Amino acid sequence: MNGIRAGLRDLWARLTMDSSGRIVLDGQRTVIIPASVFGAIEAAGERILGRGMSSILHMAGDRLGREVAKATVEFMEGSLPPNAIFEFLIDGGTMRGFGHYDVSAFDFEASSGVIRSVDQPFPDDPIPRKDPGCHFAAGFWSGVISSLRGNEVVLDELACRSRGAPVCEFAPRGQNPLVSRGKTDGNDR
Amino acid sequence: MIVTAGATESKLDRALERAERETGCRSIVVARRDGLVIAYRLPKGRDARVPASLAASIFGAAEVAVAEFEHAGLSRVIISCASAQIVAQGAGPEAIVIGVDAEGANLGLVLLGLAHLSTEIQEILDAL
Repeated sequence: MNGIRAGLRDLWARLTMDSSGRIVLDGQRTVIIPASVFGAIEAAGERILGRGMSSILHMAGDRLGREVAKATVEFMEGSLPPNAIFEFLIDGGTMRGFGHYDVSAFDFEASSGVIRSVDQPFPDDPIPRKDPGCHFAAGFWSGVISSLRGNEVVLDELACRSRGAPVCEFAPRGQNPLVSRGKTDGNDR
Repeated sequence: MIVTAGATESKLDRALERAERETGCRSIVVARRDGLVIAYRLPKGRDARVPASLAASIFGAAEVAVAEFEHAGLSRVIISCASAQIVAQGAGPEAIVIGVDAEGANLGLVLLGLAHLSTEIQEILDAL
Protein backbone atom coordinates (compact mmCIF):
# COMPACT_ATOMS: atom_id res chain seq x y z
CA MET A 1 0.00 0.00 0.00
CA ASN A 2 2.87 2.38 0.80
CA GLY A 3 4.34 1.63 -2.61
CA ILE A 4 1.06 2.51 -4.28
CA ARG A 5 0.79 5.74 -2.26
CA ALA A 6 4.33 6.69 -3.24
CA GLY A 7 3.48 5.86 -6.84
CA LEU A 8 0.37 8.01 -6.61
CA ARG A 9 2.40 10.95 -5.31
CA ASP A 10 4.87 10.42 -8.14
CA LEU A 11 2.02 10.33 -10.65
CA TRP A 12 0.59 13.60 -9.33
CA ALA A 13 4.04 15.17 -9.47
CA ARG A 14 4.23 14.35 -13.20
CA LEU A 15 0.93 16.08 -13.97
CA THR A 16 1.38 19.50 -15.55
CA MET A 17 -1.09 22.17 -16.63
CA ASP A 18 -0.31 24.88 -19.14
CA SER A 19 -1.77 28.40 -19.24
CA SER A 20 -4.68 27.32 -21.42
CA GLY A 21 -5.73 24.63 -18.95
CA ARG A 22 -4.38 21.58 -20.78
CA ILE A 23 -3.41 18.90 -18.27
CA VAL A 24 -0.61 16.63 -19.50
CA LEU A 25 0.73 13.39 -18.00
CA ASP A 26 3.83 11.80 -19.53
CA GLY A 27 3.26 13.66 -22.79
CA GLN A 28 -0.41 12.71 -23.12
CA ARG A 29 -3.27 15.16 -22.71
CA THR A 30 -5.20 13.98 -19.68
CA VAL A 31 -8.67 14.62 -18.30
CA ILE A 32 -9.66 13.81 -14.73
CA ILE A 33 -13.24 12.61 -14.85
CA PRO A 34 -15.65 10.69 -12.61
CA ALA A 35 -15.63 6.94 -13.22
CA SER A 36 -19.37 7.20 -13.90
CA VAL A 37 -18.58 8.67 -17.35
CA PHE A 38 -17.86 5.11 -18.52
CA GLY A 39 -21.26 4.02 -17.22
CA ALA A 40 -23.01 6.95 -18.88
CA ILE A 41 -21.47 6.09 -22.25
CA GLU A 42 -22.25 2.41 -21.81
CA ALA A 43 -25.85 3.06 -20.79
CA ALA A 44 -26.47 5.41 -23.72
CA GLY A 45 -24.87 2.96 -26.14
CA GLU A 46 -26.91 0.04 -24.83
CA ARG A 47 -30.08 2.11 -25.13
CA ILE A 48 -29.48 2.25 -28.90
CA LEU A 49 -27.36 -0.79 -29.74
CA GLY A 50 -28.39 -3.26 -27.04
CA ARG A 51 -25.75 -5.93 -26.47
CA GLY A 52 -23.94 -4.66 -29.56
CA MET A 53 -22.49 -1.93 -27.36
CA SER A 54 -20.39 -4.57 -25.61
CA SER A 55 -18.23 -5.13 -28.67
CA ILE A 56 -17.67 -1.40 -29.13
CA LEU A 57 -16.43 -1.09 -25.55
CA HIS A 58 -14.25 -4.19 -25.96
CA MET A 59 -12.73 -2.85 -29.20
CA ALA A 60 -12.17 0.59 -27.68
CA GLY A 61 -10.41 -1.00 -24.71
CA ASP A 62 -8.36 -3.23 -27.01
CA ARG A 63 -7.23 -0.26 -29.07
CA LEU A 64 -6.29 1.79 -26.02
CA GLY A 65 -4.49 -1.18 -24.47
CA ARG A 66 -2.32 -1.62 -27.56
CA GLU A 67 -1.50 2.09 -27.64
CA VAL A 68 -0.61 2.15 -23.95
CA ALA A 69 1.53 -0.98 -24.23
CA LYS A 70 3.36 0.35 -27.29
CA ALA A 71 3.99 3.72 -25.67
CA THR A 72 5.24 2.06 -22.50
CA VAL A 73 7.61 -0.23 -24.39
CA GLU A 74 9.03 2.81 -26.18
CA PHE A 75 9.25 4.76 -22.91
CA MET A 76 11.15 1.90 -21.24
CA GLU A 77 13.59 1.69 -24.14
CA GLY A 78 14.03 -2.06 -23.73
CA SER A 79 14.90 -1.89 -20.05
CA LEU A 80 12.12 -4.27 -19.01
CA PRO A 81 10.92 -7.59 -20.49
CA PRO A 82 7.25 -7.83 -21.61
CA ASN A 83 6.07 -9.60 -18.45
CA ALA A 84 7.58 -6.85 -16.27
CA ILE A 85 5.95 -4.18 -18.43
CA PHE A 86 2.64 -6.01 -17.99
CA GLU A 87 3.03 -5.88 -14.19
CA PHE A 88 4.10 -2.22 -14.43
CA LEU A 89 0.88 -1.47 -16.33
CA ILE A 90 -1.21 -3.44 -13.83
CA ASP A 91 0.19 -1.22 -11.03
CA GLY A 92 -0.28 1.86 -13.23
CA GLY A 93 -3.95 1.00 -13.64
CA THR A 94 -4.35 0.89 -9.87
CA MET A 95 -2.78 4.32 -9.53
CA ARG A 96 -5.13 5.73 -12.15
CA GLY A 97 -8.20 4.62 -10.23
CA PHE A 98 -8.98 1.30 -11.91
CA GLY A 99 -8.70 -0.58 -8.63
CA HIS A 100 -6.41 -3.39 -7.55
CA TYR A 101 -5.77 -6.20 -10.00
CA ASP A 102 -4.55 -9.58 -8.78
CA VAL A 103 -2.43 -11.31 -11.41
CA SER A 104 -0.96 -14.00 -9.13
CA ALA A 105 -3.07 -16.65 -10.90
CA PHE A 106 -2.21 -15.43 -14.39
CA ASP A 107 0.74 -16.80 -16.34
CA PHE A 108 1.78 -14.07 -18.76
CA GLU A 109 4.29 -16.28 -20.61
CA ALA A 110 1.70 -19.00 -21.29
CA SER A 111 -1.18 -16.55 -21.54
CA SER A 112 -3.26 -18.71 -19.25
CA GLY A 113 -4.96 -18.41 -15.91
CA VAL A 114 -7.11 -15.69 -14.44
CA ILE A 115 -6.77 -11.96 -13.77
CA ARG A 116 -8.94 -10.80 -10.87
CA SER A 117 -10.22 -7.36 -10.00
CA VAL A 118 -11.84 -6.73 -6.65
CA ASP A 119 -12.84 -3.13 -7.06
CA GLN A 120 -12.61 -1.79 -10.60
CA PRO A 121 -15.20 0.95 -11.22
CA PHE A 122 -17.11 -0.52 -14.20
CA PRO A 123 -19.50 -2.82 -12.26
CA ASP A 124 -20.50 -0.03 -9.89
CA ASP A 125 -22.83 1.66 -12.36
CA PRO A 126 -26.43 0.54 -11.86
CA ILE A 127 -26.98 -0.60 -15.45
CA PRO A 128 -29.25 -3.64 -15.84
CA ARG A 129 -27.07 -6.26 -17.54
CA LYS A 130 -27.60 -9.70 -19.00
CA ASP A 131 -23.86 -10.28 -19.32
CA PRO A 132 -20.72 -9.42 -17.38
CA GLY A 133 -20.24 -5.68 -17.69
CA CYS A 134 -16.52 -4.93 -17.83
CA HIS A 135 -16.09 -5.03 -21.61
CA PHE A 136 -13.76 -2.05 -21.70
CA ALA A 137 -11.43 -3.61 -19.11
CA ALA A 138 -11.52 -7.00 -20.88
CA GLY A 139 -10.63 -5.27 -24.15
CA PHE A 140 -7.94 -3.13 -22.56
CA TRP A 141 -6.03 -6.06 -21.06
CA SER A 142 -6.56 -8.07 -24.27
CA GLY A 143 -4.87 -5.26 -26.17
CA VAL A 144 -2.05 -4.87 -23.64
CA ILE A 145 -1.27 -8.60 -23.57
CA SER A 146 -1.60 -9.01 -27.36
CA SER A 147 0.72 -6.09 -27.98
CA LEU A 148 3.33 -7.18 -25.44
CA ARG A 149 3.28 -10.85 -26.49
CA GLY A 150 3.06 -10.19 -30.20
CA ASN A 151 0.13 -12.55 -30.77
CA GLU A 152 -3.61 -12.20 -30.47
CA VAL A 153 -5.10 -12.86 -27.05
CA VAL A 154 -8.74 -12.16 -26.24
CA LEU A 155 -9.74 -11.93 -22.62
CA ASP A 156 -13.28 -12.79 -21.70
CA GLU A 157 -14.93 -11.85 -18.44
CA LEU A 158 -15.89 -15.03 -16.62
CA ALA A 159 -17.42 -13.44 -13.53
CA CYS A 160 -18.47 -9.88 -12.78
CA ARG A 161 -19.35 -8.03 -9.60
CA SER A 162 -22.25 -6.43 -11.46
CA ARG A 163 -23.77 -9.94 -11.67
CA GLY A 164 -23.19 -10.72 -7.99
CA ALA A 165 -19.73 -12.32 -8.13
CA PRO A 166 -17.32 -11.31 -5.34
CA VAL A 167 -14.65 -10.32 -7.86
CA CYS A 168 -14.41 -9.73 -11.60
CA GLU A 169 -12.40 -12.43 -13.38
CA PHE A 170 -10.81 -12.27 -16.82
CA ALA A 171 -9.24 -15.15 -18.72
CA PRO A 172 -8.15 -15.87 -22.29
CA ARG A 173 -10.92 -17.39 -24.37
CA GLY A 174 -10.88 -21.16 -24.27
CA GLN A 175 -12.41 -24.30 -25.66
CA ASN A 176 -16.00 -23.22 -25.33
CA PRO A 177 -16.64 -20.22 -27.56
CA LEU A 178 -19.48 -19.11 -25.32
CA VAL A 179 -17.79 -19.58 -21.95
CA SER A 180 -14.05 -19.23 -21.61
CA ARG A 181 -12.23 -21.83 -19.56
CA GLY A 182 -9.05 -19.88 -19.30
CA LYS A 183 -7.05 -21.60 -22.04
CA THR A 184 -5.07 -19.82 -24.69
CA ASP A 185 -6.57 -19.45 -28.10
CA GLY A 186 -4.19 -17.04 -29.70
CA ASN A 187 -5.72 -17.31 -33.14
CA ASP A 188 -9.27 -16.44 -32.29
CA ARG A 189 -10.04 -12.79 -32.77
CA MET B 1 -10.42 -19.03 -44.10
CA ILE B 2 -11.80 -20.35 -40.84
CA VAL B 3 -10.75 -20.03 -37.25
CA THR B 4 -12.75 -21.55 -34.42
CA ALA B 5 -12.09 -22.41 -30.82
CA GLY B 6 -11.43 -25.85 -29.38
CA ALA B 7 -13.41 -29.08 -29.53
CA THR B 8 -16.35 -27.73 -31.49
CA GLU B 9 -14.06 -26.64 -34.32
CA SER B 10 -14.84 -29.43 -36.76
CA LYS B 11 -18.60 -29.15 -36.30
CA LEU B 12 -18.54 -25.41 -36.80
CA ASP B 13 -16.21 -25.84 -39.76
CA ARG B 14 -18.55 -28.31 -41.45
CA ALA B 15 -21.57 -26.10 -40.78
CA LEU B 16 -19.86 -23.05 -42.25
CA GLU B 17 -18.59 -25.00 -45.25
CA ARG B 18 -22.11 -26.25 -46.00
CA ALA B 19 -23.58 -22.77 -45.56
CA GLU B 20 -21.00 -21.31 -47.90
CA ARG B 21 -21.89 -23.95 -50.51
CA GLU B 22 -25.66 -23.51 -50.06
CA THR B 23 -25.73 -19.72 -50.04
CA GLY B 24 -22.76 -18.71 -52.16
CA CYS B 25 -21.80 -16.24 -49.45
CA ARG B 26 -18.06 -15.57 -49.40
CA SER B 27 -18.24 -13.86 -46.04
CA ILE B 28 -19.95 -15.55 -43.11
CA VAL B 29 -19.23 -14.79 -39.46
CA VAL B 30 -20.67 -16.41 -36.35
CA ALA B 31 -20.42 -14.13 -33.34
CA ARG B 32 -21.54 -14.01 -29.77
CA ARG B 33 -24.27 -11.46 -29.13
CA ASP B 34 -21.71 -9.30 -27.40
CA GLY B 35 -19.65 -9.23 -30.60
CA LEU B 36 -16.84 -11.68 -29.84
CA VAL B 37 -15.93 -13.96 -32.75
CA ILE B 38 -16.95 -17.63 -32.60
CA ALA B 39 -16.09 -18.78 -36.14
CA TYR B 40 -15.87 -17.33 -39.60
CA ARG B 41 -15.22 -17.72 -43.28
CA LEU B 42 -13.86 -14.61 -44.88
CA PRO B 43 -11.74 -13.70 -47.89
CA LYS B 44 -8.04 -13.80 -47.06
CA GLY B 45 -6.78 -10.79 -45.17
CA ARG B 46 -10.10 -9.76 -43.67
CA ASP B 47 -10.29 -9.22 -39.92
CA ALA B 48 -13.26 -11.07 -38.40
CA ARG B 49 -13.52 -8.72 -35.43
CA VAL B 50 -15.23 -5.92 -37.33
CA PRO B 51 -17.98 -8.01 -38.98
CA ALA B 52 -18.56 -9.76 -35.65
CA SER B 53 -18.97 -6.40 -33.92
CA LEU B 54 -21.17 -5.18 -36.76
CA ALA B 55 -23.36 -8.26 -36.43
CA ALA B 56 -23.80 -7.60 -32.71
CA SER B 57 -24.46 -3.89 -33.26
CA ILE B 58 -26.89 -4.37 -36.17
CA PHE B 59 -28.80 -7.09 -34.39
CA GLY B 60 -28.66 -5.29 -31.04
CA ALA B 61 -29.98 -2.04 -32.54
CA ALA B 62 -32.72 -3.94 -34.37
CA GLU B 63 -33.76 -5.65 -31.14
CA VAL B 64 -33.97 -2.28 -29.42
CA ALA B 65 -36.05 -0.91 -32.32
CA VAL B 66 -38.42 -3.88 -32.21
CA ALA B 67 -38.92 -3.44 -28.48
CA GLU B 68 -39.22 0.36 -28.80
CA PHE B 69 -42.15 -0.07 -31.18
CA GLU B 70 -43.67 -2.69 -28.88
CA HIS B 71 -43.02 -5.73 -31.00
CA ALA B 72 -41.04 -8.88 -30.30
CA GLY B 73 -39.43 -11.92 -31.85
CA LEU B 74 -36.76 -10.46 -34.13
CA SER B 75 -35.34 -13.22 -36.30
CA ARG B 76 -33.21 -11.49 -38.94
CA VAL B 77 -32.10 -8.16 -40.36
CA ILE B 78 -31.54 -7.68 -44.10
CA ILE B 79 -29.49 -4.81 -45.46
CA SER B 80 -29.90 -4.31 -49.20
CA CYS B 81 -27.40 -2.38 -51.25
CA ALA B 82 -26.77 -2.08 -54.98
CA SER B 83 -24.34 -4.98 -55.28
CA ALA B 84 -25.13 -7.28 -52.34
CA GLN B 85 -27.30 -8.06 -49.38
CA ILE B 86 -26.10 -8.41 -45.84
CA VAL B 87 -28.12 -10.70 -43.60
CA ALA B 88 -27.82 -10.86 -39.81
CA GLN B 89 -29.66 -13.83 -38.36
CA GLY B 90 -30.13 -14.85 -34.74
CA ALA B 91 -28.69 -18.25 -33.84
CA GLY B 92 -30.27 -18.99 -30.48
CA PRO B 93 -30.04 -16.77 -27.43
CA GLU B 94 -26.25 -16.42 -27.44
CA ALA B 95 -25.13 -16.13 -31.06
CA ILE B 96 -25.66 -14.34 -34.35
CA VAL B 97 -24.74 -15.23 -37.92
CA ILE B 98 -23.95 -12.55 -40.46
CA GLY B 99 -23.53 -13.32 -44.16
CA VAL B 100 -22.84 -11.23 -47.24
CA ASP B 101 -24.20 -12.69 -50.45
CA ALA B 102 -22.52 -12.58 -53.84
CA GLU B 103 -23.74 -10.19 -56.53
CA GLY B 104 -26.81 -11.62 -58.26
CA ALA B 105 -27.39 -14.27 -55.59
CA ASN B 106 -30.87 -15.63 -54.97
CA LEU B 107 -31.92 -14.01 -51.68
CA GLY B 108 -34.38 -16.80 -50.93
CA LEU B 109 -31.62 -19.41 -51.04
CA VAL B 110 -29.33 -17.19 -48.98
CA LEU B 111 -32.00 -16.75 -46.29
CA LEU B 112 -32.74 -20.47 -46.31
CA GLY B 113 -29.06 -21.38 -46.04
CA LEU B 114 -28.36 -18.93 -43.25
CA ALA B 115 -31.45 -20.06 -41.36
CA HIS B 116 -30.18 -23.64 -41.67
CA LEU B 117 -26.76 -22.52 -40.44
CA SER B 118 -28.29 -20.66 -37.50
CA THR B 119 -30.15 -23.79 -36.42
CA GLU B 120 -26.96 -25.83 -36.64
CA ILE B 121 -24.96 -23.23 -34.71
CA GLN B 122 -27.59 -23.17 -31.98
CA GLU B 123 -27.50 -26.98 -31.71
CA ILE B 124 -23.70 -27.01 -31.56
CA LEU B 125 -23.59 -24.34 -28.89
CA ASP B 126 -26.45 -25.85 -26.90
CA ALA B 127 -24.46 -29.08 -26.66
CA LEU B 128 -21.48 -27.38 -25.00
